Amino acid sequence: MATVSFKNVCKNFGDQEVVKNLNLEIEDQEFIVLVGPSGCGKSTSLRMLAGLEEITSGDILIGDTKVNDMEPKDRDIAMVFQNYALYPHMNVYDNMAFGLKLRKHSASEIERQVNEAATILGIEHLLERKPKELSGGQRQRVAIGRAIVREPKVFLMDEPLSNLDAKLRVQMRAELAKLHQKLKTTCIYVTHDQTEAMTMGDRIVVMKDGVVQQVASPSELYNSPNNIFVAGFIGSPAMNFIDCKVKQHNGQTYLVNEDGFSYLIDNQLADYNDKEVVFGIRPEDISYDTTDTPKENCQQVRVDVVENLGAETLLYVSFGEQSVVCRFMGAPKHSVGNNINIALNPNRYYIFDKETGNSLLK
Amino acid sequence: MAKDKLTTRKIVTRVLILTALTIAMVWALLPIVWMVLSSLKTEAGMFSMPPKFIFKPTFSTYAFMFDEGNFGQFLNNSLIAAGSSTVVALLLGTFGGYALARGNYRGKKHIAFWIISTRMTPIAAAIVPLYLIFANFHLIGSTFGLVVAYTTFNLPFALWMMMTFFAELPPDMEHAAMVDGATKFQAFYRIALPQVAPGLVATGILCLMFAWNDFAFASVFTGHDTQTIPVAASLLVSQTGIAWGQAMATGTVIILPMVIAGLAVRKYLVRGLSMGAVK
Repeated sequence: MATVSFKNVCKNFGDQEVVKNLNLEIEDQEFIVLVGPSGCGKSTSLRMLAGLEEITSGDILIGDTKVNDMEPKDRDIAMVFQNYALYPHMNVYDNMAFGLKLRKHSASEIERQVNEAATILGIEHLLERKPKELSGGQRQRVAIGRAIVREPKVFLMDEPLSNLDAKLRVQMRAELAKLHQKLKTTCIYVTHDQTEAMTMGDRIVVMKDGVVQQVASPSELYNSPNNIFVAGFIGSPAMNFIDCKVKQHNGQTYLVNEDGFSYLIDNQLADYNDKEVVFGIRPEDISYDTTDTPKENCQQVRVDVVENLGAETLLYVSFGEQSVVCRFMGAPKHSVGNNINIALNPNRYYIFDKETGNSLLK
Repeated sequence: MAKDKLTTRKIVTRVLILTALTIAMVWALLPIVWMVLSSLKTEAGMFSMPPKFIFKPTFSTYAFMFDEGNFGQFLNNSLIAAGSSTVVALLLGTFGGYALARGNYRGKKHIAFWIISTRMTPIAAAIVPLYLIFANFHLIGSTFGLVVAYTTFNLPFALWMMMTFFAELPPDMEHAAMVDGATKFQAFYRIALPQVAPGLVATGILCLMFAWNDFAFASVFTGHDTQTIPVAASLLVSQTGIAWGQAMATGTVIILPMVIAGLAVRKYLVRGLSMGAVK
């Protein structure tokens, strides 16, 4: 077990800067998730930590040891790859024992460790099989087994669940979280799926174009995103964004636009009077029950699409050119073409600078 | 009705395909069968009309070739020249191919193309310069010279083939091995190499065939003692006539090792030659 630090780490491929000045302190026993769209530098960061990718500049430390020029084999890490990367010519037992054999453990010791790891993952009955005789989920377990059997200082996981079908992914997500609670090994997990990030991470690192956008706990990311990118990336369906202007009227501040949008905010935004901003509201913060909401925060809309998900309903509505997604609990109460009044929660909104995209609420 | 029609059509298609395959098979195999059968007949029996397919075989021609002539030595020369060149080409080609597939340096593609371009030289164009070089190093007439000549053609081929096989292998498995505790070399020979084994075998067979079947190099670079079988076979056609019995027996001996090798590794051969074709 160990801490991991990235200090001013940069990575260039030719002229292209893939990771720009990454600074990150990962605590011992922490489960940290790097998340972002493809090409954001999250996998590259992980591979630099593993030693599979050279660092252009900066330092990476595992514990107190600088590992910049250390071979992968000497870093005492284990990694799970997206395509599992099992050794196809070896059976499951040999796949799991490979690292231990290279480290010259005794045969009896290897057998004990492999069996122990296999028991934890419920794959004891598969030890004699070759990878091609396994299902996707079983391969995934073997790949994880190969990682945990060595009891490394740090686990690295590079999109380990993306090749599984949706149902299995949800199941393995929970199992991985359970496994981490049991083993308490520092874990760095890369994914492009914000749901995985939100459900598994103690902390989440949101990256975009090689730059860290925000490092925070899941609830902090959800409730106070630093900028419009994080706000739009975390949460499903994504946050609604409405371009508008700040207007002072009778001593109160409104956000308005030409589509007839108008929303009263309790924040003065004095510097922004008459300037363009982006208003954000999450689908779950919109309600069709307008009784408790001031009429300044309600909006007349037309229903375009109704999606009934059983426990909840997604309503795609519009006014003028603007489309908005709303998420309600329960069965749909409206049908396509209806004109309804929706209440935008007066206390749970976000405002971003139109130019920089940074949050104006802090 | 529609169903019946479909079945008839299927049967016709099947019959046509089988007929075509039979013709192709007879076309390919008849000369070989003819040669093998002839080698087991007496000279008189060889030309009897109509040809006999059932007869009492005689091994007298073979016995004569191995006992009276130098045939055993020619066979030995062929095996040594072709075998050594194949081993050298595979060994260096595997390392070189891996380096070209996995290495990350400038001009990689150009180097790879330059290497394979040397294989594109017609043998006739290479023989004269090679002859001059070999003459300087006193390699004319030696089996070693022949091995060098074969390797100049087999090595670029083997290297290129192995490079393609390694390049098709996802590097993640070697990365996983390195994270697991393997050195780069261990990741190469314990993880990557076993997976391209079919390709290695296929490449080996092709190198072996090139050297084994070669006549041009062997006829120029070998002396009396270092002749290979194809050269020896050519000498059976002389001004005074053709030694038909020996020619047939020599032909049989030439193709036999390749047929056996091909059959022994045909599982790998199919997989190796179709590597990359199936994606």
